[in-house]
Amino acid sequence: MDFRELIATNIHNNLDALCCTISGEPYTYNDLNQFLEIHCQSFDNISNSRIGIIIRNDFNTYAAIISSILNGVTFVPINPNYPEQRITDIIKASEINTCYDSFNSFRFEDVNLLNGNEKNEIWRLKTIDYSRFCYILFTSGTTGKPKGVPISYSNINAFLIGFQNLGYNITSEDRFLQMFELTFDLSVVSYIAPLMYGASFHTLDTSMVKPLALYDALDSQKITIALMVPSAIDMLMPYAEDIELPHLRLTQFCGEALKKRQVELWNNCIPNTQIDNVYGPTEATIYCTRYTIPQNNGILHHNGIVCIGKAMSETVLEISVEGELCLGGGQVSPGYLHATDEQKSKFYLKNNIHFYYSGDNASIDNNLFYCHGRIDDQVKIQGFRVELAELEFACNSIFPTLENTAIAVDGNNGTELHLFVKTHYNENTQSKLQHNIKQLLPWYMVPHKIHWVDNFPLNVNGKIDKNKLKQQVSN
Amino acid sequence: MDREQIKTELKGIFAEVFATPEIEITDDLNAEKVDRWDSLTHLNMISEVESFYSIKFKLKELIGMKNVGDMIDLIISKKA
Repeated sequence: MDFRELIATNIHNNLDALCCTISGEPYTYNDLNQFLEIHCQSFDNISNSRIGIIIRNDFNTYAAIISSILNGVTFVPINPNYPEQRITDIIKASEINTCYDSFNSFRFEDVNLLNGNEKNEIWRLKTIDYSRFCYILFTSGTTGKPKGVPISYSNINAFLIGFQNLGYNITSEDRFLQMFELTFDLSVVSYIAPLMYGASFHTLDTSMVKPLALYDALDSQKITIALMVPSAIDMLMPYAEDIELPHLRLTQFCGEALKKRQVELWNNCIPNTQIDNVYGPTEATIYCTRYTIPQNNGILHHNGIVCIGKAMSETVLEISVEGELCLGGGQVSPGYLHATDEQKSKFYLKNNIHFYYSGDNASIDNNLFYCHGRIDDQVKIQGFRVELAELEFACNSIFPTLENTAIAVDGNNGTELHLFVKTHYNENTQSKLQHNIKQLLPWYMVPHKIHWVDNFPLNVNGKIDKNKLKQQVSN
Repeated sequence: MDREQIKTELKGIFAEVFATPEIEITDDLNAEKVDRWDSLTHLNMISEVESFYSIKFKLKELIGMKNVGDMIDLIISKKA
């Protein structure tokens, strides 16, 4: 199977069919075709075959990403609302000299904006070497710089073969939900998978607040297949009794640990539909395991965290002697961009299979895998990966002489970040810290609260006792 | 119920939830006009309004609500 060929064939054969709705506005496959005709030549002319795509919630942004894939270019989604320093780090690390911005307003030194041609040209699927990167996503890194995860065309093809083998019986009538920010890899399957079947995807109306926009899209766009983060269930639960979604036939949850309680709530809202828990880090391309919630029997779980099931068809799993889940096979990224030795050591080769240490503790029972949380300080905030060290590093760069430590706790609205700084409270210090953190880190890494302490509690080894700090916050 | 009275009551709730004591309640007020009005504070505000008036909005009513004026209409119809 070649996913790019399937998409190209669907575009040519289904010009009048619905391709997507963006914030409620419909677009056909012909709209996509026209974007390709206007831009194919410009994509071909990008010297290093890499393009930054400034993400806007409009059709042209999606069309540019899909054109990038069909032209065999590597795309790097860039959120223009990120702090300037982060955008600079991303552009430099991924060696981008061309960007596409549907608003035509993005400016960056030595970066050209991609324009279309006056004249439409017939476009053809470009034959490429599948070891080339399809996209590079940046996640939180412990070194204070965002970490680039490249995913090759071969990785994404392996993922989509695995996806096809999940047996969802998808047809061109299916309507997929696309609720993710485009810097998040769960967005990739949300817009690529439907195109392989001549189906459509539907985004949220950004003028509404998130949970309402989510329900509105599920309902008014008659979504049949929805990939969501588990925290979406919590957001909708106050209105559980109003939920009525007769078109929804499959819900997949990914991006955070799925709790048994959440599945039970969702199952009550939309009974007799398939619910799958899918799992996997960005490094192993979108997701790579799946567990289907049984309709009648009990839900398999460990301490309330739902089982992650079995590997998809192109993935192999093993658990290291230390109990860490390792993911191997065709979906695993070739390795981090400009990797340090420590970052290189996250990947290994065994029996000619490329593996990645996930950082998740896991166990296996009856051939099914269970996750038990992180072996390190990585946490998830609304599905986004955050290394606590990156927040600490940012605080340290603002106040190098002040000792600090970051923790994550379960709050009323999901996981919250708390930053502890060892000094007396002072209004100026607080506002300088708050202001500068926002200049350095994306919104989801900004601490919920900053605490000012005289001393840190220490454990028996003389290290900061993060559990004590967590207890303080919870009380 | 009197719209002006509701506006005064909403001012108290909004000032607290959005941490903006000086907030002016008008019919066309919406999330775009208030800095701290985001997904989370929106839901907090809704639940404060619901408990203040002892009412419950339907999900579809919340989706249709485009500004404070729409919300006042709903409060009036639910209290009638």
